[in-house]
Amino acid sequence: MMILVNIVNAQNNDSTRFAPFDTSFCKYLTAENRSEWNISSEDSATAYNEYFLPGYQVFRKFRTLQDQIRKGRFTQDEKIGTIIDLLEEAKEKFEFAIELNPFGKNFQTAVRSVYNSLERYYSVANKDDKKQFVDEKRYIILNKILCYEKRRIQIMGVHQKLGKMYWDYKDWENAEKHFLIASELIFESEDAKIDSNRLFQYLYYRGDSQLKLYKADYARTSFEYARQIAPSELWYNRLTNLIKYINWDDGNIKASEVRQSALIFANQKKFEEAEKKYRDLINIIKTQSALYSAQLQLANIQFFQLDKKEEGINRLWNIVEKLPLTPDRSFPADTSLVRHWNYYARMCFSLGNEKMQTNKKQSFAYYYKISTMECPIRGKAFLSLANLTTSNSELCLEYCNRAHDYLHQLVEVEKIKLFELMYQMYSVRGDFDEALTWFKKAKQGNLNN
Amino acid sequence: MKKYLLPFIIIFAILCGCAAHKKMQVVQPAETEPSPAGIDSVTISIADSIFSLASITETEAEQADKIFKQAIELKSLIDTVWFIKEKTKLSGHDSTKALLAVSESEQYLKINPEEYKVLKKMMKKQGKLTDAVLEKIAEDMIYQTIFVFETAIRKNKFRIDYKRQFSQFLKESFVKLKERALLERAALELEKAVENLKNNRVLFSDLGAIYWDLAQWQNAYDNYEFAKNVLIKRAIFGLPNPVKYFDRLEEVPVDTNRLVGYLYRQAQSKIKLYEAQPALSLLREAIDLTPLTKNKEAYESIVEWINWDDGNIHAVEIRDRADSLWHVKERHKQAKDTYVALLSELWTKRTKHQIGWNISTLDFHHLNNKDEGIARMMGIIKESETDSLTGAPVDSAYKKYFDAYGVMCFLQGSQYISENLNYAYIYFNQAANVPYNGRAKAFLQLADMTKSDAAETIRFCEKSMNYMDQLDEQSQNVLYQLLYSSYRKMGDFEKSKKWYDLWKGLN
Repeated sequence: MMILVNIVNAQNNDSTRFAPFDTSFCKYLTAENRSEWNISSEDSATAYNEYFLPGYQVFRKFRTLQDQIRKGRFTQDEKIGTIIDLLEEAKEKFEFAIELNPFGKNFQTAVRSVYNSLERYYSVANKDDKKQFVDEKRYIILNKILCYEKRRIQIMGVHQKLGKMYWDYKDWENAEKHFLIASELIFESEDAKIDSNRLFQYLYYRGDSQLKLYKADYARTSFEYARQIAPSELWYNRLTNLIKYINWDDGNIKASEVRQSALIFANQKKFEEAEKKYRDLINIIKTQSALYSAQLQLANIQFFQLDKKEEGINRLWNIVEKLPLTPDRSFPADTSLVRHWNYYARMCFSLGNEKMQTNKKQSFAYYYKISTMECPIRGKAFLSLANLTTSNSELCLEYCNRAHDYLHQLVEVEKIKLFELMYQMYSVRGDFDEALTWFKKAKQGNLNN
Repeated sequence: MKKYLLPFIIIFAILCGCAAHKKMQVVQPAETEPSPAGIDSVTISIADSIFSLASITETEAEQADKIFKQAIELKSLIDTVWFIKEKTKLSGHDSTKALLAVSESEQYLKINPEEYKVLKKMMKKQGKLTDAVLEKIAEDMIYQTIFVFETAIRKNKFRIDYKRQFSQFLKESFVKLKERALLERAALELEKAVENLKNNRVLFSDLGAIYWDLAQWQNAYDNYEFAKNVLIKRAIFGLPNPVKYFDRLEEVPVDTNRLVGYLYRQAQSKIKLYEAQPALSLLREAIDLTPLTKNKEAYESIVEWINWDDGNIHAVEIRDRADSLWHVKERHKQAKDTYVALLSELWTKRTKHQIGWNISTLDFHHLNNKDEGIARMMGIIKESETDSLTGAPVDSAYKKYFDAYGVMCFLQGSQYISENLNYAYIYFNQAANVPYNGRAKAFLQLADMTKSDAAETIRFCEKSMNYMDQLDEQSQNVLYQLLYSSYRKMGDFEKSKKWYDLWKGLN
């Protein structure tokens, strides 16, 4: 018998696809009305004597071996090759018998029994280097079972198995098809006993296949259903993340994929590759929120990892400067963009620190910019501005007082620095009593007021 | 004059690293720098304008520093020229001596050998150099250096050390040129500096010193007060373990030497302002604080000086002026006039008597106004409080006045003895009535003048004998002779013999 081993490239380079199942044999497995078949007595006899009986003898050998394994004389792993060979041989003979006479006594029972056993042993066979070969055989068996199987649960099981096989081979379209059928069968079923774990699996793999097929809406629906019956919190969270993944660019899964790979590169500290991915990503993003998110990631990588500070900060600035702000213009009106706001401030602070030694004027401009922004480092920015204006005590004190308003943002050493600056500035102004107040605070470590 | 100036202008240009005019050299346009990435132009503009209130760019600071260094180099060159001027004044006005002075100045000032090579070369060419030429050269350089300092300060107004060095230079230049405007400018520069730096003791102290030189005493006092205040108030900030003094700030150790120095200068300022009480308070504080006996004694002498006329500082000054005139023989009359003028300024009877005594002394002993002198002295004696029994002054300080008056009367008596015995008798009698250390001699003179009346002679001799310790051997000889001759005249040979024996014993 021809074994369908044609492997064709799927949509993904890594994926393989089984050749379409040839359904021509199904008619023998599902034959019902004998009058419609013209079976000669010679064919009937040949089928029985030359194929069925020898096939049955082989099958008996299988049964004997199975008993021996059950009794512990052998292990299944030791004999699985023999078992499969016996079953393949029996299957071949039974199929020839059925081809000649689909209505032979016990023919159908025998072939179905062999199919079931073969499918079961193929599914547990050690595949290693023969995986494709074994899977292709199993794939055919399962399709043949589908030809005659009438029981809903069995059908669901076969679709599940086929779906999983396709899924393993990244044939997302067929995987989706089988899991879709399997899940639809469950939904159509009125049997209250249907295992929710099974449904969850169908929905998960269905959704995952749809995800791979970039069918965002379908995948989202599948995952949402699956999430409702998630067997554990872990699964619930995983599905939530998958839904988020789909929704990241409003269903633009390709964008989510590129983003995911960029994130992976970034986690692996392959920042140049990550930067490239983010650059690609920016060109395919649909929504502004995703675009802003990608720009933020890219800007951070450029600024903090690749020493492309100018490009990094400009990238973020282009977003930040367009943000609608609160009436006092110190905070973004859209709180979802606070991260951009804060990272921009961090970049300004970093550049401010960097320029401190070489270009104080530019350093001042960066700190000044942060000082106009309500952010977690505003206090630090005021302190830095104070540090840069010690030649003008009035100005310096003004910045010190503003930094003091944000005392909670300063670490201990910064608080001490602030108090020292204040006492020095009051001293410069000749207000020694006030200077002493701050001097005491600096020296006593009374840092919280 | 121009032929002398030229080489120095060339040196000046060489030192400044240019051959062109200074103004062209120091004013350089700032390079435009790229705007900081990632910030909008409005923010940059606002930030830049605020930044300019407290700082300048690194490039501007470097430019300013370069110019400032040029000013310092010029300053040292001026010192060299001035040193040569001082040397040539001592050595004469020829170029050989001047060159020698240059060599000495090289060792003395220890600056740039290259500069001296150029300088020596130029000096050789000049031939004779006069003080006036060198002074003019220094003066020109000083004004050019002022311009360089000003440019540096204009470029970086935040460098206090620039201002301090500039004011120091102005002060030194004032010493050279005696131009008050230089000192006023130095004060102005420091005033601007302290305006923004009220915790710099040194600046206040420098400013106090400049105002002192300018004789602006209140300003001097105020700035020393600021310096003192800063010294005291900032003392805790410099302690290694200030926390332990937080609850007892009055115990914070202060640099006593500096504090005493400021107190002393403040006291001096108050003296100049004729404010005795504040000056005394400051001095007493300084006396209490100073650990040095020498200082303590010096301050105590100033306290005494202020208190001479109960805090009438103006009077003490006039007194000192008159005292100094007295020490010059030709100025005795001027000294007397000054003392006389002072009399009306004096607050206390004690000082009036003291100055009256000075005038009397000048009149009697130096100006030949004996009558006026003795009359003034008599007035003082009359005004003096005396013991009702002895007639001696109650205030022992007055003893010298009585002595002086007694001496004057005695001298007057001695002068009149050959001209007018009556006057002589009156003066000797007056001297004999003054409780002073020449009284015995006055009685002896009276005894001698009354030899015709033995009883009277014996009476005066006996009075004289009451002050035997005032009589030297010669006077005692006269006394015994008068007694033995008077008793003999009276026929009392026994007593006469007694005094004769004593007289003989002395011979």
